[in-house]
Amino acid sequence: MHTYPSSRRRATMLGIALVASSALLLTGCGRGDDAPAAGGDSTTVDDKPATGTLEIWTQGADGAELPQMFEKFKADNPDVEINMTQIPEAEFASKMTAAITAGTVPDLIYSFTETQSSLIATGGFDPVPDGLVDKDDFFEVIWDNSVYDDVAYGVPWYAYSDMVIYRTDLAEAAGAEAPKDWDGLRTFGEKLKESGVEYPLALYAAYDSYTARQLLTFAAQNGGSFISDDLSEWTINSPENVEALEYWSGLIKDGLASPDGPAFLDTVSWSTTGKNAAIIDGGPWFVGWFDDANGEGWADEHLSLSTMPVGPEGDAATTVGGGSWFVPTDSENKDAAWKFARFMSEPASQVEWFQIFKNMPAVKSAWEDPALADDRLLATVEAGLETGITLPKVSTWSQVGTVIGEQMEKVVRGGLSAQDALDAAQQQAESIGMGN
Amino acid sequence: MKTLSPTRQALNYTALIVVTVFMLLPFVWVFFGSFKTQSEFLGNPGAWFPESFQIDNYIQLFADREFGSYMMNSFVVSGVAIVGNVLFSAMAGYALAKLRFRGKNVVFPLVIVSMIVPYVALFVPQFVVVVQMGLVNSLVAIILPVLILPLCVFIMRQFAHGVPFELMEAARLDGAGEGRLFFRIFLPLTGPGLATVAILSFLTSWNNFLWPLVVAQSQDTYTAPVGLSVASQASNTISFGLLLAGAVVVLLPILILFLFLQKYFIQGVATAGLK
Repeated sequence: MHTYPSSRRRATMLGIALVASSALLLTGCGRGDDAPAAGGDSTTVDDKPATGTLEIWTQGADGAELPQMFEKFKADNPDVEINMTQIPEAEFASKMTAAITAGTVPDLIYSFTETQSSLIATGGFDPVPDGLVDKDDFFEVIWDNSVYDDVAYGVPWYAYSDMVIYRTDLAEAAGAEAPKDWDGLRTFGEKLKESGVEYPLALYAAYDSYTARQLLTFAAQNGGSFISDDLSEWTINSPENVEALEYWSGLIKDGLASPDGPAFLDTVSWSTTGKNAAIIDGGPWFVGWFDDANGEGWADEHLSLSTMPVGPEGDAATTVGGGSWFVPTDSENKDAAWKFARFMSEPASQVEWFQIFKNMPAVKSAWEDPALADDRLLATVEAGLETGITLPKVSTWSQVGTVIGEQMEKVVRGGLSAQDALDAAQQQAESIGMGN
Repeated sequence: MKTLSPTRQALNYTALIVVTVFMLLPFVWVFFGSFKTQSEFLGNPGAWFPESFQIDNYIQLFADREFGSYMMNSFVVSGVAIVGNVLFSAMAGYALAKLRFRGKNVVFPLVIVSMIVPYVALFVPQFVVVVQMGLVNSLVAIILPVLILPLCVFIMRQFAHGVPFELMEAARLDGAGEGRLFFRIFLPLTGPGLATVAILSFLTSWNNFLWPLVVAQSQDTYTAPVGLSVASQASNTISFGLLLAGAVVVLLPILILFLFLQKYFIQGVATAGLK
């Protein structure tokens, strides 16, 4: 489960995206036609200190803390000046698209996994220079997230995976064990239901593209996928996906999860009061939220963590997220931009950033640092990263994901069969296309 | 006028009070929420009242962030928008209602049409124009599209019809020029219309989010709604108390302006369509 932008924000985002795209077409000053750049005609970046002014646009809370890393970068690059602008997170991709249109881009940005497709699709970003970083240093899933047509556009910065976060005390009282597979998850829910927990499992059921992402995870655990490997066609109504939706919706129909929530703010309170016993596909930050709400140490005392259950054939899949650094093609100081991205991906910087902001490293070796190695939360996240899946890497994913979410709602509320729902989603997705 | 029976009157008042309370409830929740801590939001999100009224959210809003400068930008944008709309829409309304000129019958329908066209469709050419003018990332770019609103022109044109021709002709016979007619005769007689225009233009420019978000490319030019969106971001979630405190602060100027001008505003809205 994640933090979700409100529907108003999404509507705004959609509006700006439409506007920016239209403006791009009208002015003819974008680079839509040749996007994304093919062939990886990247340059190399030397080891000399960076110079000049570096304009960085940030989003989310990361931006407020990022200046602490600037100081460390400037220690080795004294002639560089860094200007940072914070952009509202929900509108970042749209604003960036508008900036590409206007040709008034910064030198460096980071983008979260959810918006990388739409940004890279603008064609406004340079490939990662040859030899800047070694892709094998990073978790595969977070590196692959910004690879299009075999060209890497982003240098991974941090990564997390979702997990099962459950109430140890309630599970013990019900005699239930941590769910390891689909059957185990259902048994876990049934036992807790019998012991009096109203809705044992907290699934995200707001029926939007994030709901679709949850279904995608279950589908992948069942050997399915929403898109073909070559990203040329939607495969939403495949038998594996239909089975996954039947399983997911069955949990709700049988009263093991509520279709009405927890939606967002009430996630912590539902689990704290015992209305829920387990958050399925929950982000690692939830653990801290429980302490925020109930006092320091509450999470240690009441919660256990487990990786997402595997599917019937033992296939593991986990929702992952994170962020990567991107350099706009119109950047005026690409050299300094890539050097800063390289600096942020160094293991020492990754650990430093974890200590500042608790964002988890995208570089595998950073997890061996004592600051991270013995944490039970991090061990679960790290295990999840090994089985992480990426979202469909096409610019229309957000639209298609919303369509899938809407159809999922019809299954749990309207009595539509999983097959009919995904057939309808497939038909709509085909008319939306891949965005290329 | 027909007088209502006491029972009917009581029923009407009860219905109005119930509707009013329902409409105010979200604002009440926002107001009390602005005094809550983040843990209160996470622990019991549905609670109406804070456990203890703490003003940390307000302090943090202005101390840690650049919210004060965002507010100042909003005041500048909205102030210029008020002046621009009051002046230009009054001039346009005067011209459309009181002057004879070629194409007059085409101009007014165009004003009406521009009110009907969806904002998103207008947004694109506006954005292109601002880019071509090199005004991106300036307060001027944020102000331009709200400097003269079609709705305000429509309102002032309707009000202008209410100013008697005889009065204007009398002033003309006394030797008054168009400028004197406009400022000395026309403007004083259209007070409620001007107040309505002032409030509408303030509301439009103050609440504008989409346009300033795209046009403002550095935090120096952020307006309050855009700045509030940034200021409310915290570790992997939204800082709800901060967001609500900001919402209260952003709401205050609208509330104050409306309280001062409500008499004219209601008069203006009620009569604009009758002329």
